[in-house]
Amino acid sequence: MSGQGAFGGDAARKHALIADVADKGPVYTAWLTPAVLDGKPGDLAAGQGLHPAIGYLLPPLGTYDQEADSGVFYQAALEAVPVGADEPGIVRAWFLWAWDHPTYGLSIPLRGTSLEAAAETIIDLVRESRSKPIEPKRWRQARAALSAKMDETGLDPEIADPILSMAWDIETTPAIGADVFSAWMGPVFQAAHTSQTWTEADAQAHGAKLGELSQKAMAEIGEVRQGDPEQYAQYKAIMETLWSGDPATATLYRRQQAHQAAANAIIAAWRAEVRRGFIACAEAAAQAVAA
Amino acid sequence: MTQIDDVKTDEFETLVLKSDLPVFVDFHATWCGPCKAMMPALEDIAREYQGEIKIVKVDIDAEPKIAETYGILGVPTFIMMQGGQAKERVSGGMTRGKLAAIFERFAGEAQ
Repeated sequence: MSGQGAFGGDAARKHALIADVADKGPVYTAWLTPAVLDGKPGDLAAGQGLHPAIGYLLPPLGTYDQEADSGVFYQAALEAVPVGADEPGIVRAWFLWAWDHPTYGLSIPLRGTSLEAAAETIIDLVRESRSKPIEPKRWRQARAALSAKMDETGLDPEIADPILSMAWDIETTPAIGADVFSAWMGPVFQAAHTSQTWTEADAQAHGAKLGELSQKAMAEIGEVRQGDPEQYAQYKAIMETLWSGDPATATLYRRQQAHQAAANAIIAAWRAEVRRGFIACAEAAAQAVAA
Repeated sequence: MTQIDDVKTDEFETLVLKSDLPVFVDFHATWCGPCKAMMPALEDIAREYQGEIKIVKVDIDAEPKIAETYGILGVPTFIMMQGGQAKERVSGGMTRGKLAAIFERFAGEAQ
């Protein structure tokens, strides 16, 4: 925990971290990523004067990216977090923003279902937790009620997952921001890849062809040298040639590329919005610090 | 932090199959990144459901007989055991929300 709020209440520490991100540039496209893989981003964040709640949420917001602009996002996000801010409060505000979002809102798939009331109980607890601690048993009861409803209805559990993931004390379970992000992204990812023009059969045919051509390319290359960019470029060039080998294969490749680009664009739009939401919540925390 | 212990083949019957509590078994491997990434979530869940549901780990490379018995083809794979029977099985990384949904079903029975 940072004790005196964000950056330990020290503006110099904030500026040093932002300068470090700017200096390192592309290296920071993977900021905190090794710690995420080791499961300890909270420890690393604490070393930089950040609360683990922020430490767990920033990496998924920043690194699940096709365009390698994570460094730009990290700088903007860190700029937005006020020195001395209540960082768990920023994450809680982001949860509430996610619930109410007009397009991607977590409340939307639950509206009119028998899960709605139990989910709203959890959202009310998140609201309440912004001003006072919540007894652990109330989180537990709220989770149990939503889980029980989910079992009764047989609705897709994915729609309740982000809400169940919020229903914890963020001080003792600071990684929940990453869980909410992940649970929110799952259905977005699935919807982005659901298409009238790219079926499951297409995906299987593409996968089988990819495996076949990849084996041919590897056989042509010979001994693999891990991490060799020249060899990887050679592999990609061979694959391009193989994909254009006959009209049917070339068509399958073009269709898959078009589908992937369309899906990436849908996910990128969502990701840009959830990043914007985080920055807005962080900026709003400045008012609380000023007060 | 709540310690989650690895179970060896000769302990499995006592600690898992004959346990009075439901046992959530995490089949993992030391080389598996997603398995490591799951550990903080499992530790949080273990703390939350302490005294109601046990969590143990099985290293599939060190204990291949257990992995074979339960047909473990990939890691992480999780099996909720109760009364010596595999009651629920899930694979891959999971949020605390998904874990809680599973645990609530079995914690209710234990209470």
